[in-house]
Amino acid sequence: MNKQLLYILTIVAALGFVSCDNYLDTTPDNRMDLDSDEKVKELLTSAYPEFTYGMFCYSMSDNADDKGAGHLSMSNNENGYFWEDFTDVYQDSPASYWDECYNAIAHANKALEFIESTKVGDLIPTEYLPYYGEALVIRAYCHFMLVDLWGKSYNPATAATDLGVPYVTEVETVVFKDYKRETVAKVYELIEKDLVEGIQYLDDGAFEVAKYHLNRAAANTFASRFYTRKAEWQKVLDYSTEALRNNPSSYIRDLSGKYAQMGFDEQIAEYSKGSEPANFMLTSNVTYWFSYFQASLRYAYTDDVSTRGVKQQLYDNIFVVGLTNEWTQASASFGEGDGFILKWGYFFKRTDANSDNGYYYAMTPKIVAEEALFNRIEANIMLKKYGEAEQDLDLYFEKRMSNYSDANKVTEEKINMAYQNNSNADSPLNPWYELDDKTRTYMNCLIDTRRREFIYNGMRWFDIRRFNLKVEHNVKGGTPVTLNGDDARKVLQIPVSAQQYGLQPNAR
Amino acid sequence: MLRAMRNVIVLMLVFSLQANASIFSQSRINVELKNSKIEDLIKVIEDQTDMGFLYDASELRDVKPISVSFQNETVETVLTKALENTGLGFEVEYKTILIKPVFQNSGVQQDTRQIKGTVVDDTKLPLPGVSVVVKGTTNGVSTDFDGNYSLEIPASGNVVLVYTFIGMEPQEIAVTNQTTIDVVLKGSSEQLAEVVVTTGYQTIDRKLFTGSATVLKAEEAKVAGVADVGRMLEGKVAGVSVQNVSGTFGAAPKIRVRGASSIYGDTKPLWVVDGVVLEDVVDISPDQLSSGDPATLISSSVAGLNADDIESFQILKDASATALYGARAMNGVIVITTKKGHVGKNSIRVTSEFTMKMKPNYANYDIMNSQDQMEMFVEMEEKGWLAHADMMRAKDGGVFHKMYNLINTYENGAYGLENTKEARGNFLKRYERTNTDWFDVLFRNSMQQNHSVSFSGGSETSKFYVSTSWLNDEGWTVADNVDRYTVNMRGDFDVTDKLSIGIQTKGSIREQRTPGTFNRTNDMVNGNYSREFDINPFSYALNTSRTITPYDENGDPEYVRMNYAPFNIMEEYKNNYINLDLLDLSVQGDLGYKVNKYLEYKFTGSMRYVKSSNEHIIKEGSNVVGAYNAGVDDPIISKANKYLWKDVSLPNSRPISVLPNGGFYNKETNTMKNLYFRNMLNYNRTFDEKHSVNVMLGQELKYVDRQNDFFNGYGYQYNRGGTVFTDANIIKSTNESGFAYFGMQPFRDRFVAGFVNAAYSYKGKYTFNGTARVDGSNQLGQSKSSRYLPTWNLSSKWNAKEEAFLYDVEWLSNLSFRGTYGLTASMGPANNASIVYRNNISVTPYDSERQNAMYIESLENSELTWEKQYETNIGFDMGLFNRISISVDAYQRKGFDLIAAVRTSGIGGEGWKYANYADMTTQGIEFSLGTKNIDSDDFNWTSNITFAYNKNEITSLKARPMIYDLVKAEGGAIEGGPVRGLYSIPFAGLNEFGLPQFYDNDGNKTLNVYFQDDAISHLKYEGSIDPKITGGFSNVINYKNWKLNVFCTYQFGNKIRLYPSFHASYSDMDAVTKDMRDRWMVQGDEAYTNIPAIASKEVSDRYGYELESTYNAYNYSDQRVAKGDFIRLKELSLEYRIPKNFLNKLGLETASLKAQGTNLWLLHSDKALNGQDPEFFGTGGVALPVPKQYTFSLKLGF
Repeated sequence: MNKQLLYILTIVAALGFVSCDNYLDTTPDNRMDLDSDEKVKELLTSAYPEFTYGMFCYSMSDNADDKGAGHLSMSNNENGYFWEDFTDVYQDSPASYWDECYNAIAHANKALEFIESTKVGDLIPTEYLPYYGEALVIRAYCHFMLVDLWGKSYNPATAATDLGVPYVTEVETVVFKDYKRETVAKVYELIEKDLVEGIQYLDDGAFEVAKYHLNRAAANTFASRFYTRKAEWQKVLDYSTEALRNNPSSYIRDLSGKYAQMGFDEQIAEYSKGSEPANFMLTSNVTYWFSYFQASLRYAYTDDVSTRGVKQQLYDNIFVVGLTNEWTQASASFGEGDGFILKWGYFFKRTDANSDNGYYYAMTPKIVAEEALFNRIEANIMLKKYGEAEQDLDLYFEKRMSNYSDANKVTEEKINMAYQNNSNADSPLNPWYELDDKTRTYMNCLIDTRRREFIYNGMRWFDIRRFNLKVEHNVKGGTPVTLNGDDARKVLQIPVSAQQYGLQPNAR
Repeated sequence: MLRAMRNVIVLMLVFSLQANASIFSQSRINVELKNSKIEDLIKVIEDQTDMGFLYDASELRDVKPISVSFQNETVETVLTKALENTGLGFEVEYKTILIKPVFQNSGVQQDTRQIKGTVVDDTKLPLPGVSVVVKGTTNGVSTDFDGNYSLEIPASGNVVLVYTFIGMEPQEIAVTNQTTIDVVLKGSSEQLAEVVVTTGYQTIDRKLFTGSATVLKAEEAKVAGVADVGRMLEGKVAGVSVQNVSGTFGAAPKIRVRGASSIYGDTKPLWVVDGVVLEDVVDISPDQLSSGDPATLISSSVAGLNADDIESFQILKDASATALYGARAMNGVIVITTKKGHVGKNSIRVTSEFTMKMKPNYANYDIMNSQDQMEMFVEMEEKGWLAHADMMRAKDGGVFHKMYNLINTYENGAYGLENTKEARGNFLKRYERTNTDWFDVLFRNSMQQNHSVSFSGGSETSKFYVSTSWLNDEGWTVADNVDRYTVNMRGDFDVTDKLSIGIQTKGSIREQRTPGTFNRTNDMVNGNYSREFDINPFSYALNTSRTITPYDENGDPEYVRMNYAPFNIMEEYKNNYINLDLLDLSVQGDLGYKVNKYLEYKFTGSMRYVKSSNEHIIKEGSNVVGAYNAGVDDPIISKANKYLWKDVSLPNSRPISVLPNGGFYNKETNTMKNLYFRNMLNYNRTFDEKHSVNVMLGQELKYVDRQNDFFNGYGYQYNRGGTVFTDANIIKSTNESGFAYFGMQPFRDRFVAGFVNAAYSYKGKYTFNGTARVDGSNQLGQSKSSRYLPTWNLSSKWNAKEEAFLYDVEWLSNLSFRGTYGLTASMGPANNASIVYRNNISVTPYDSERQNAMYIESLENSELTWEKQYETNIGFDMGLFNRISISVDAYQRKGFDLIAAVRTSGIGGEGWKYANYADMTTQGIEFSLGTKNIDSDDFNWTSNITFAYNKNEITSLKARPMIYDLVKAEGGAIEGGPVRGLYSIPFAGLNEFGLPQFYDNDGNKTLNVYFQDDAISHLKYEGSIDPKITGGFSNVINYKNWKLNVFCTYQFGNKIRLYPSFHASYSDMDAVTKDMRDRWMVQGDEAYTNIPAIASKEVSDRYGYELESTYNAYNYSDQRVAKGDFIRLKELSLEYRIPKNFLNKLGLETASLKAQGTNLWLLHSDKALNGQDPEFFGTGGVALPVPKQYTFSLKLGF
């Protein structure tokens, strides 16, 4: 009997052995492991914010106007127009962009963590280098966008005490981790470190579709943008020149040539294609921020002649418009008052093959050649190389004017005429550094031109912050509201969810 | 009832008779006992020989102590000596010794005569050891092994014989002048129900069972005409709530044991069949059960079981009862035991059921007739809707569209209809009067048949049970039908004395047809669910205007317009349907080996394979295909019709059709392979007749592979012999949207567990039980830190009735108290113990810009663990006068580490996480009362009441729900509320245009409700969507051969969202409820009515698409809520058992006829429901309510 018992116990133990730990290592489904340079590449493809700042930045800027009731209302548009704290937390809201930037950062950090683990001695294997660079630049870019929205605009006098944003370099492994806000100076320091190290490893050949990554041109443009904040003009010049390489003109969007031949639908499609040389970096965004909503939101640019003010005359007073040429960027209208400048369109992704529901996507040009050019112009102006600045302005206008002739070329005289003591904004430019008269005039010209070019992409808001501009917003049937140059509301309020976890809110 | 008891008796006999013939007298023993109990002697004999005893313990209780001393003596001699003067005798057959009282004639000598006979049970098996006593005397005998007895009785006077046997109902027979009295003893249901509890791992004597469990015999549970056994439990067991959220075959009802225990995770109980857990083929969340999506058709794990194969249900409720299921037990366990063969004559059972499902009727629903509806259309026309030009380009159009279409038609020199007011009026008149009865068109009084036949029998060493059944439902609606075939084969073999083996195979095949349906999608902006091309017959009947006619005057199909294409519902069913085929096969082997008297090894192994394939046939003539081709030539329609496609690379091109040829052939397959092994050692020993100890040690392993794959076929030409003509653009268009036209996903579930259970009982009075178990799973992810979870449980029971001071209390037939405390758990809906990466394709319109991408679906959560709960249960069972049984349980559950979607700061990279950050408490009371109101030979009446109260509250939840999450019909979770609470947008009256207004978070009136807003403090709490009180009440009356059963179920304390029937605009196809007659018509009406106006075209244009969300907010306001309370006459049945003597002539053993009505009458429900079924969600797709039905059934036994 005992023998039998022993026998059976042996069987039981043997069967029990099957249930060892290895059995539970089976992955439950199609999830993947991060284990090769190919996978790192694919992981970084997801490391770009899927939400965008375009709509709320636009709504807060002086490009928006009140068209009155009856036009489409959307809370991000309305909250932005009145510089209120945003209530929405979904697409096109600041909170969603906050989440997405940090989500991209987490992706980048995970890639960095893995790449570090592949180090042979102290060296990163060469096949990983481009991605190491990309991940660092992504981390820099996303933190820069965060600090440029939720922190005060960089000012060396106060940056060491101004509150910035948490700078995340590790992936969290617990449900709630404590984070604290770094100072603006510290954030800038960390961004610069990541950016400078990362940018040298970038290799456009390493990407599947380079235009959807921080490729060399995009990263250099971003670097030039970064240094405009710190007023390091030589660096701005160097990086923007690097971005534009030898033939800047070939990168500027050819509205007067190629686009002028196209129908509206074609222009809209062309605007956000990867093959368009002007698009240095596109991101695929879930957003309402595309032509239809740009036209029909209540607080937006209007083509309604009855309410024409400075803001509505965006394209009327271009100083180089003459008898023989005209501004070529097309505009159209979806209805009374719902006019818009042709930019990018949308792509509807259904939630199900037969469904009515889905998400609007827009392939949004996030970094474009014009920005690099404008940054270079700015650097040249600040370095008092006015001739170079004029040349680049001409280069730009040539692509914006039909029949752009020598007679219309930019001259100091023309600039003075249109921009001496006139920034076309609600207040004069007032950056943390000094501007002398000539520089100021040239800067007025540049910043105003730039405003026209970037009407919907949200960049105007960053100039309003950087140059401490005042913004006045009309209210149909009410008194206008004003955002002063040093208004506390120029810094977005920290999302409620982050405040709840102990992040210090911004002053109001 | 009877069947269950027979098995118990059979088992006893098998145990005692199993031996091969060894000669009794050869067994010699040594014994040395002084002043000992008889039981001690029995033990000695059992220890030294391989003989077993059969006796009634109560008869040994009062026997005075014995003293015996023998060396190497035969058992016979020892026993003869030992039992001298004890009033006991014995009898031997093979290896079994029957100890029975020796009755002596009492005192005075009288004239006596002999009476003899045989006692058998109702399966004709002889009953040994039955005591036969002359009433009022001690004169009696016991039956021998063949059930025979012979007794001297007084020759004169009134003599009544009393036959008693444990587990049987006593019988008294008055003796007249017979010399032979044969008696059939019937099983006592009351007593036997208490005998054993099967947990799936163990079979335990009820007296020693410390947990809270309800045993339900199949006979009691079975509801004729109901195919899904899950639905049969409704109202039968205190604490089990069953809600028929959809009545479609294969769709699982929402079953909760003691309420929900998880907030976002699984709340289904675990189904266990013959010791093996039935894994789900697809994982359907609780909220998804009511969605009507095609996947719900395979959501019921028990849809493949033939109810006639079931022996019993055991519903394990508290932590002690479910302890052996460890980390899967949190939602309760329902154990199904199927029938086994038994020793004796082969028996054949045939059951046939014919069920008539009754058509629904407009009388029960509050839908406008065609006259009222036409009036409303006229108002709509006045308000600027239904205008000629608009209607010609409208997406959907009914009568008005048809009229304008005729006006536009010019053929043979005449217009289809003249454009004069008179001609138009005449045209509309036909439709105004038609009053189409959609229920009559789309439903039928249909027949469902279910036939089952089973064979069983066996010898002492091998038993078999084989059954097969066929269920055919020709379809309650014109668009569905089901066939189900089942087979069940089971053999149990005693290979040797020690080794027993059982093998069984269960299989089912299902062929089902339902209307074609796509999955619903959720539009959170407007607060809508939507389902494209929904042709659910019930929804269609309720939502389609009665002015529409399915056939024209000539009897030809009459078409309306849907999605810009012609539509006729009857034609659509012919051209758009789903064929579901399902094969479910399982093979199971059980092995038992008795190592010695105390130690037994048991093995269970099972393999189950399920394959379900779901073919969605969409033919050329269908509206779906029509929509993919509609309006190509019309510049306005072609822009609006989203089923057309525009090539992004040709921005100036016009939208074109991507399905110019053929239709769709979409197929989805779900397969599951499930292996399961279990090894157990069981040690059972009683020391000194006082201390019984049972220790069980076991280990189990589960392996489940699931696979879901789909294939969408485009351009299958049904009308051209199945040739495939695919337009390349359709692939391009699906690619663009990021959809694949085929796909496959595997799921792998690996699970191991080890467990130990120890039970100790002192004289059956005090029982203590403890269980510990460790589970391991791969489902949480690859991190080793969280994959194991230990659970444990302690419980005890006091059988007070066994105490000396209660033993003689006659009126108290039973009294025991139970107590349990323990930890149970279940797997939550999170799997990121280590980081989860997924792959996708980046979204862009251009092929050339698309990239493979990998993304972090969830960051690592090193703190992830199972959802857990501590449960305390106290209860008592009481029996009074052998007539009343009461069982009461009170429990408290403290759920913790429940998974919740929590909002984080977002800085870590994940704004929302599923994490163990919620707690919940549940309290409840369960009560069941069974009474024998009248109990006589010919007439008896029993009643059973079950009552359960359950209340849960989320005590901690770090989630921030949006308005939409809380107001939808499925309810939502917030801290301080129940698991699923229903909340309403506070209605603030109609404004001066008849538009509904609402209070916002600041108390201001507004038209705009932003459904994604997470400011929710202003929402009105209506109540839980799960009933607080559930139960049933049954009465069974037996009169001679007749049996009447009246069964009601009830639920109270929940709230229901009424169907969302209000919209910003209606088409001339929509039906509306009669409330609409009280709608706002002119300014000032807002003072009298809360029913919003039909918005004029002008108003609609002014507010744009936001008006739809205003009207939707009304659908989700406090105006559109009803109480879920109901009392339903669930079952009324009358059964007639054909008398024995008649049966004998027919060569039958049993036969009965039964007529039954199911879901007959809603005795009580909230008036505000207006006919809406309080259980049914009405979400379209494949969901249908449970019909009223009549069943006739015939049962024959040979």
